[in-house]
Amino acid sequence: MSVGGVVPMFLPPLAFSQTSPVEVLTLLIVTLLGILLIREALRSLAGGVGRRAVTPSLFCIAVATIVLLLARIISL
Amino acid sequence: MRKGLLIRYRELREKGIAAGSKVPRVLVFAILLAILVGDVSVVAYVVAGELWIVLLGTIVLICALLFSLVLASFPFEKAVSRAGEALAFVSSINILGIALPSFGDQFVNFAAFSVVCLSTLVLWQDRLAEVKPKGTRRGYLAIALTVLPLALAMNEFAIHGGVIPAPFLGEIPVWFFFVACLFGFSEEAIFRGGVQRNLMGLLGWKFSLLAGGLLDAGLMAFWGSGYLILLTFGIAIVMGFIFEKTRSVPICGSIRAMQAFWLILMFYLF
Repeated sequence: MSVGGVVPMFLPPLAFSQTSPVEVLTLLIVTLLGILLIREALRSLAGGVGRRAVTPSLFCIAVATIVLLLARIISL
Repeated sequence: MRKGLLIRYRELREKGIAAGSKVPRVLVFAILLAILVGDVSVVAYVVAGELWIVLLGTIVLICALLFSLVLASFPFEKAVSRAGEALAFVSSINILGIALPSFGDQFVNFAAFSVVCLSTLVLWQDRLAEVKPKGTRRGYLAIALTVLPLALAMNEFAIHGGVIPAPFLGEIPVWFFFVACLFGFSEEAIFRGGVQRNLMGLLGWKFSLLAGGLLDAGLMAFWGSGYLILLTFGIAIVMGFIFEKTRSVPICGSIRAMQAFWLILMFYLF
């Protein structure tokens, strides 16, 4: 199994895994920070219904960021 | 005397901003459109091969995610918050699909994507989608679990001309049966039990059904196949009607899992 993208079709991630990892990482990290910021704002305002939405989204983006980072490290 | 922001927020949260006002509806439609634009950018990337298109799409998806979170967090009525929650999750799995690196094998890519989606669903099941059945009707159950999956699979197989479509180049590994079945189930949990159910309160059953179908079809953009997008939209509409009648994710999920099983079996055998 090779990390870095060989198949030119499935999952456009391969676009990102082949070029401009910096842009993608920046985007993901900005997203993570954005979500965290909203979460902190909610916490400081003593919570609300929508707090429920934050954690799953955070999980998805965090997994993507970690896997992308690992893939970059392995492929170096 | 002017009230502090915090007090005002708490008051609003207790009363709730009317879901009937136009603002949340317009926001929901805008977020829906943004997610679809993100998905279209994926297809455009596959067709044109230009990286900037998908980069732009990702930014649009990130905006959709942040706005969904705000919609879910702002003290609107519960119907609005629930719509925001569903859209936030769909936006985040779309970003996940774009951002995950390729493992060099399309089936492994799909499995990695499915595992994250499934684990998110399992970990936050009570928040993302209501999986417990509600108001099950046994008549629909009998028809749905026997005839429909096979009919849908045969239809999809026939439209593909009995040929494995381009994105499926190479042989389908046996373990892919299980991943496809599990993903079929989780698709129903996300788009019917999550999106359709949560948008129903705000948009009504017709629009929520359509929204679920469009978002489901949009996710198929990740296969880079126009056929698959149209087919999935058709199947999602059928499943949406079944969900509307049964209000049960186990029924819809089982149908979709069986449909995926039959379809792959046919590609395997013929």
